[in-house]
Amino acid sequence: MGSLFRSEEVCLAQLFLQSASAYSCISELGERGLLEFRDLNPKVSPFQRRFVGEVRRCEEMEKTFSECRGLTLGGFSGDRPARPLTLRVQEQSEQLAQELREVSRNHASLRGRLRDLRQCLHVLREGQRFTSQPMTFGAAVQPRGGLPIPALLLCLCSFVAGVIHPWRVTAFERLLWRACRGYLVASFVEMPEPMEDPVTGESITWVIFLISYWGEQIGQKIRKISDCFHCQVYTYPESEASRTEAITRLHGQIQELSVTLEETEKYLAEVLDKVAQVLPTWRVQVQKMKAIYLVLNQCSFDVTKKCLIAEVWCPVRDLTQVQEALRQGSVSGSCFVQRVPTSESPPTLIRTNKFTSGFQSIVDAYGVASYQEVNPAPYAIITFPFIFAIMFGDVGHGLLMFLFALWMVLYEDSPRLRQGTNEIWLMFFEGRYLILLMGAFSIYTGFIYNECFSKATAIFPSAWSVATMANHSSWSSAYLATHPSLTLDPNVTGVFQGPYPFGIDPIWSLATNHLNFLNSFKMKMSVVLGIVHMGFGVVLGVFNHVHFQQRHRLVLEFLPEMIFLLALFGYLVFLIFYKWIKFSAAESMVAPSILIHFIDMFLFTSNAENLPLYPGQVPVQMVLVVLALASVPVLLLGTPLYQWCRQGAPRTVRPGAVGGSMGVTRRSHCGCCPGAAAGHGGTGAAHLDFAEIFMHQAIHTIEYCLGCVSNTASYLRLWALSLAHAQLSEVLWTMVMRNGFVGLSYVGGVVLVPVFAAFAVLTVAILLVMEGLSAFLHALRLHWVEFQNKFYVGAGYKLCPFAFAPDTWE
Amino acid sequence: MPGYSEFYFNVDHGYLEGLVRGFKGGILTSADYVNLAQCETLEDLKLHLQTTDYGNFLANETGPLTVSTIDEKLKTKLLTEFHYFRNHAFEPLATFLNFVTYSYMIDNVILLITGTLHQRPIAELVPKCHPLGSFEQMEAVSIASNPTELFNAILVDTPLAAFFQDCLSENDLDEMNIEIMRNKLYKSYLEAFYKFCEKQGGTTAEIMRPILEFEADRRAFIITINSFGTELSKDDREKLYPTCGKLYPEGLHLLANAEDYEQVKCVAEYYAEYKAVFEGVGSGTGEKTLEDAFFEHEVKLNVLAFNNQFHFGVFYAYVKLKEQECRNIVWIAECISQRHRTKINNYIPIF
Repeated sequence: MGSLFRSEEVCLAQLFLQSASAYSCISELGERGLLEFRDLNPKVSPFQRRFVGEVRRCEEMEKTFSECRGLTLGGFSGDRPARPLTLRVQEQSEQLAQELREVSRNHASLRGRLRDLRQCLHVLREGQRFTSQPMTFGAAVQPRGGLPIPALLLCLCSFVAGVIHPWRVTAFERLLWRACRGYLVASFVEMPEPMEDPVTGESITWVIFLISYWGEQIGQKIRKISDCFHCQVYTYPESEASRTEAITRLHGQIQELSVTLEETEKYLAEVLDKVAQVLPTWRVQVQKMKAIYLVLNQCSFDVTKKCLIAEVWCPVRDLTQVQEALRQGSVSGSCFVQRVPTSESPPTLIRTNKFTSGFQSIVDAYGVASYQEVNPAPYAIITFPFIFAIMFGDVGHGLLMFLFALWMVLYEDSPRLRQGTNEIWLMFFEGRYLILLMGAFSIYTGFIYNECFSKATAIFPSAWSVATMANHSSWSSAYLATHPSLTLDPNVTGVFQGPYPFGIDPIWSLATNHLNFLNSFKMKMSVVLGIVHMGFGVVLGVFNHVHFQQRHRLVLEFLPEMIFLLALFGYLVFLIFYKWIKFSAAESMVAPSILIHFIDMFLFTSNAENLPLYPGQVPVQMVLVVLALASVPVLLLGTPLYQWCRQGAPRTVRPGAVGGSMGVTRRSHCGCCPGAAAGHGGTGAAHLDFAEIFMHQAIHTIEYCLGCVSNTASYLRLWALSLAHAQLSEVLWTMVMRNGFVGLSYVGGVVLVPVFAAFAVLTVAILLVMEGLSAFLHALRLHWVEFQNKFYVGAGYKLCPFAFAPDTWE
Repeated sequence: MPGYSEFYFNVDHGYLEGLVRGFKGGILTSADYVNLAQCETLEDLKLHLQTTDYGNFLANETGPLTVSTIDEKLKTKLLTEFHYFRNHAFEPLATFLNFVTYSYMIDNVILLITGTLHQRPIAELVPKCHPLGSFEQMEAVSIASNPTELFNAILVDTPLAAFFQDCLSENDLDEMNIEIMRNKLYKSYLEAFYKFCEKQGGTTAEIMRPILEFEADRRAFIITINSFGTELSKDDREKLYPTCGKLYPEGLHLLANAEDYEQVKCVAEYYAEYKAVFEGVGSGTGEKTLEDAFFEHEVKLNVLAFNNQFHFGVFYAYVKLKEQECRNIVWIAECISQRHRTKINNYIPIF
């Protein structure tokens, strides 16, 4: 848990791996996933690296695998690939692939042969139908070409027969006609059954053609043309008898071939089974192997060439584990890890669990924390759902959301939820704990607002007594009939019996000034919460200053920032509470306006019509404003001047002294003024660019001071959105659901069903999803902008350890 | 409505233009070429190409890698892209893209006829044809024995028929006639394409004009240089020159009367850009040939096409640049496979 508050300590380390055991060491480390490897030869192009041969062999195997792949199913659980294994895998896989290739080639050729025979059979059959008809009937044939041919001529001519792709028929026919000037008769018939196209593998209804021609010259030409059109030409026996004979012979051949084909198919299935069994594990192994070699490619050799050196970012906590892994991986125990000092900023590592990861990713989406900077995520676990709930306060809606998230949480291990491919769904699923808390907090704020689907609930009896009021002012029936609205006066004893125990009194939902009351309450609440939230952000900055050994910033930055915020806006919060406590219902008529007072405070005036809240108010306010204004120049000039002094003094005496002394202490990392880090960490050579520091500080000051005003206003979105949500749900109730309560008869019951359906759908679609998303976005903005810019730099980068994680292999 | 293409261009062609500009981003840069030229074997070359936009286009090649498979795969990739453009194109872009393919069709027809003349089997010739220019009746070309037959039987159905009007003659197909036919076809094609682009007007015409003019002039120069020492008469030679170039008409007259290379060079002197091209040519080995110099200039013109938006020129330029890229890769691959590394840097970088 400790690491959630700031990122873990990460050090640069060198791994010394003996060449013999480097492979197994990296394999061990990959299984544990602890280290991020740094590329030590970034200038070397990928194909000039050391282990390129091995990588290529892995690719070769992958190629073989993808060739074999086709019918593989099932999960992946690859063992650690040992190096001698690879040779075996390669050998076996190649053997299998070879076998597979051979069998499938046999299979294909058999099928091709069978197709050929069948096509030939069809050609002969169709041809026979065509040529024998005129013989028997003695009539003229009407082929597709449209020329009537005397039947006798048919006996004198020769034939070319074959099949052609249906798309090419027209072009083929036209070309034949043009090229041979009509000395031929061509007829085209579709084949009765579709067959496979040997090129594309699609099933096509081929077209059979039979061309009869006169003369050898033309015959040659026709053959040439049919060649060009990729036709399958079959020998067409001239005489009727030989044709019949050919057909019977073909029948026999086809049958024989079918038997052989069946056998081959059976054998093929066997081989495929064998492949399907071993392929998944092999694939994982080879992929792991390739990853290991890619990592080894990033290592460099030491002078003696006996040992590989890898540079890694390693969490200090895991150093022992790394040692352990290296000991297991190496044969003779000669691999070891050594920390090396560095001036680079290490990557950020924040370990999360399934609960915190959703919140951490919200923070990371804004920017990954700089190394060892205060991490806002643990605070967001509470503040984020709470701020969301302020805008989404409704018991009913919150409950629905809570139950939805609860369902996801309870069934989080179910693979169906986990392996959804829908990106939006996965997003919801990743944030299930966030949604759970958002729902829970919404229920809480819903009770405070006393709203459940926009209706108030009376858990406790209302603190207002209508009966007392009626008795007191003795309303007659006539008075009641003429006055649609009545006033309950809290100043009458017994009408208002003290505050409601929890939240808003349900009687307010009946009042006509309901909105006025709630607006005033919610507006003040937003300002109070906003200022507390921002103040907390400024306080978090303290931990950064202390951690990075920049105590001067406590005085020169934190203090003026805090004074500025509290003197102006903290005072506003004080006024709000003071007025709430000081003025009771009886004095409400004379209660002064805080707004006017606050404006007067800046103008250094006092308004006679606006009574002072407390004696001595004007001098106090004057002091506060002066304090706040005085803190601005401190904030603006403090840090730059301090650093200028610090740097100026030792430089004249002994350059490098600062760098030396700072090197001993923890390496400072300051994001607000990047120049500062360089100034401290660097030796004499790195000089401090005063102008730059000053610029940054000026920007920061302006941003902070203006930000305090604008961010306070920005928190008013809490009020606006909660108002919008309440109003929208009320509209939905009055415009939709109330229509279902028209009559108390059975008809009313029937009407209620569709009305409730509409109400339910609209509630989920508009109030839960749409409103929920908008409230989420606003909560996100309040965290990213208003809260985090008080202390968070977010200029780091993540530690991505080298690991054989299962999800990266799919 | 020429000249206002920006208002309505995207309605029909916006998607494809966006696509082609995206594809253009995948054209290899000079850094890529430097890396490619360092490769020791074709496997290295493949490995490096994998890191570029080509991805694993060679991944499914089993068996040893040869230059011809690389060439084939490169062309297939270009073909796939081009077909995608063509299938999604509206008029007039569709016609424009058709025009792009015609030049390849002409080359293929001529290749097949020449091949048949030399008694080569058609199956051996077809793989040598550029896939962009293949058409249905292409392989039947070999049955024709003279141009009239070629036209009447085969080409009349193809889009090339329109360019064939000038070539109709009863002459036998011999090498000389084939070459003349190619040039006449090319001349008609270029002029038709030029006219088409002019008709489109606007930026398309603006961009395509210099490209096609250069193409025409290049042909004129090459015809002239190639005709030295043959029996082609000067009049006949002049008839072969495409007339849509910058050289037309005076330059072409001069070219027609040129007798040797020096005189051609003199003609080029009158035109600033061609002067530069001819000056870049070296005579020694390892220096640029005239062909390379022309290619280089072409690349320069084509790259310029990408500077404007809302016109068709980018499609033409993309195809041509991609073709040049194929030539470059094949050149490098050849140099690697033949261990002829001294000339490996004679490719023409594009970006």
